[in-house]
Amino acid sequence: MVTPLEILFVWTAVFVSFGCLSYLYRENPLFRAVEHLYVALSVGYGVSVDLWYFQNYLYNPVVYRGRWDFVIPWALIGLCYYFFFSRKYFWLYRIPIAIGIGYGTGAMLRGTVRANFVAQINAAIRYPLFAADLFTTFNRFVLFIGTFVSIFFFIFTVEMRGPLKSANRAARLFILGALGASFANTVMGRESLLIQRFQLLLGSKYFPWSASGLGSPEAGAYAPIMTALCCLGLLYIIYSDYRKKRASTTSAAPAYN
Amino acid sequence: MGFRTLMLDYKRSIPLALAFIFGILYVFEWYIDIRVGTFSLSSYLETTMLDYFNAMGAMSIGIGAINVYRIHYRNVSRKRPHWEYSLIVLIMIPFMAIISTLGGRWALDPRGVIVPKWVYDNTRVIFNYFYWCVDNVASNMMFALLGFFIVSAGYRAFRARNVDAAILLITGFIVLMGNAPINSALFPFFDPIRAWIMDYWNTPAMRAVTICTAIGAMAYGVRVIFAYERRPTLAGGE
Amino acid sequence: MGRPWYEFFEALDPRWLYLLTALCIAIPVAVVAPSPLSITEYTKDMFSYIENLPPGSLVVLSFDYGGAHAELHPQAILVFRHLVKRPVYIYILGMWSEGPIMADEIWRSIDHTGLDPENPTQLITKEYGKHVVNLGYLATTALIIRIFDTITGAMTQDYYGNPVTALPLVQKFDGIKYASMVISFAAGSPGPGTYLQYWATKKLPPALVFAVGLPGVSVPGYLPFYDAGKKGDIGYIGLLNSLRGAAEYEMLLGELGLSGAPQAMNAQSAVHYLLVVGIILGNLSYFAKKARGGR
Repeated sequence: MVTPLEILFVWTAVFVSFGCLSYLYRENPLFRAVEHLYVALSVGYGVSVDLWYFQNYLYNPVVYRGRWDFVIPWALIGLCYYFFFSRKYFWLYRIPIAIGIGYGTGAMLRGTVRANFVAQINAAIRYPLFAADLFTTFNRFVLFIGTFVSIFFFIFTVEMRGPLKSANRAARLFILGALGASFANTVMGRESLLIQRFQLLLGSKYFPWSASGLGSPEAGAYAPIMTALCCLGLLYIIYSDYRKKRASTTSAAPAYN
Repeated sequence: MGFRTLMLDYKRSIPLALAFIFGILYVFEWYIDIRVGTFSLSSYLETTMLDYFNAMGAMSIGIGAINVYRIHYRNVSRKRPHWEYSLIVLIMIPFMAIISTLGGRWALDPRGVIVPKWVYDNTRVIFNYFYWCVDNVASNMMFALLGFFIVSAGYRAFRARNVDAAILLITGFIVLMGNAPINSALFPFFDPIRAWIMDYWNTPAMRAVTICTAIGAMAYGVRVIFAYERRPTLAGGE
Repeated sequence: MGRPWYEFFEALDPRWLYLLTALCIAIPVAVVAPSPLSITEYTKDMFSYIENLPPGSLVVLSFDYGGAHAELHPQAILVFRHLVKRPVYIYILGMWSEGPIMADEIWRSIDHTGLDPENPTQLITKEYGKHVVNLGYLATTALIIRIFDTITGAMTQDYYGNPVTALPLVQKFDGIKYASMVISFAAGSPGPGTYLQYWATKKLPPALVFAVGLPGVSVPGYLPFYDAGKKGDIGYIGLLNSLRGAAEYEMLLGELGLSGAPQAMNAQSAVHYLLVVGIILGNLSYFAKKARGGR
């Protein structure tokens, strides 16, 4: 059974979607209002997440598990974050930032070396180039040569002369091809998002209504009503813009009679 | 600024030294794990030290929110253009913060220990409304607008002006046609060509990008730890 | 109009393209029709690896996405259902806070019947706590690292608030190191590479493999890892490529209507064709203009 509250949820979602879509026609007050509302809601929600972190990672261990080593010195160092707003003592803000950067950089260096660097080089060179049939051998050669010249392309310490110039040109071929393939995959990815948004607007039963917090597919079936109203509103705005434009062009034309 | 003068300036040298100590500690521990009795450096760094960092990070409540609030407050108080929208922000930030804290997904007291349960239940509905119907939908829709822009950008900018652009165009065209599901029936020859392009043309180039990005990241990480790059650690200073 | 045809295309207002795009998506979404679909090797590899998992294996599903990822949710629904059908045990984790919530949604909506891990020829109804456990959100890196060795030492409650020591599955497999496969649905950061960085760099048990479901934009960048994984190095043995990968998986799984991905394929084809026609027309008008002496 669909409640009026669920229908309100769905209609609000459709209205906000159209607020964003209206930007495609032109910049308008509804879009600006939705944009600022979105910023405000995200920031407000972020405050509650921060408070939860405080409760779970500092308050509970200290008060319920007696971990005072969390407070001295670590929570006191954490207090230095608030010196961001002071001009005189700004350097104290740098202390927790520096600790975070040191840890983050150290942790990144550990993981990146093995997974992104050694393993990839391993995969490129450790395997046999020749196979039973000609096509697979050709593919393996292409893979090996392509990797080699493309890495070469990114090394800027050597001047590209003579045979290096042809290596450079071959590398450009590979990299441009990869960029074209990337573009095509990006199109597929972006369109999937858009298709899901249209499933919301048209009340399709294939939209994940409950996973998106908008109730149930039965409530979603009421979405097309709001979509139709919003489309009519958009058409009205387009029509009134057109009339204004025509009125301004006809009144601007001087009458030399 | 030379290293010697840098070390004498405590406002810069303390953060840089801290970044160095913690960075080196983590990298050092990766190669040499010190064990003394039951104490193991690696498990200490991976468990207790990370808890300390979380406790430190937990203190930064709402720094971003305060900053955003300051900016929009200035817009309203000085009546800058479009100050009415900043007024929406000023009202909605504390409203959403209170609603989320009382009844949101990260509510502080969902079981009603201190705050009465009916407060949580009612604010939960309001939170669901603003979060799922406005915030989530607006963010997804802003992201989805890219779908429109990519079509119009492809139409306007994808021109075969020279050989390089032509290569980009040809591979892009083949992969686009290969990705369109209906071509499995209409033009089935695009599928194997697309597979070959993705596996044997795209992969070597992307592998090179991954390896070189990793080299760049490692070099930059070492430079940050040894204070050759001071900008990140000094948060906008020298 | 006296204006040559190529000037019309060069000066076309982009808003007409937005309208055409909207129509190309709205019509196939409103009028659902079946679409032909061929299965790519990335999806086939993932499907066949899961089909051939030995009975009694432990699989970790990691939900590293939030509400904005339209491509990952259908993939997750299908893989989750496939794992429930097979005689394996499942741990659910999330490196994004909304991940376990998505997993909970899926668990509540799919059919729980599947083969018994202890008696692989028998069909039973899988139970939470015995066959599937949702460990919740891994908020910190410490937790991701610690949970590899021990679950009871790293966390006290699962996603629903049950104490982990009371769950039979956690008593049986106390740590991710007992798992055979880790499947991650990931976009952004922490993302597809994070498990490779943290878990693959520990002393790997011989049989831990990684597979991933990716949004379309990430796929070209992660194909080298798929290539490495196929060869037996650190990488992915299978990959699901965006909504199309989900549609292919649904075809392979045979349970149509579960995720709504195949129904979106016509809209994908329509927009792809719109873009291809636009590119061809744009290039033709560009060359015509150049031939007539324009800039």
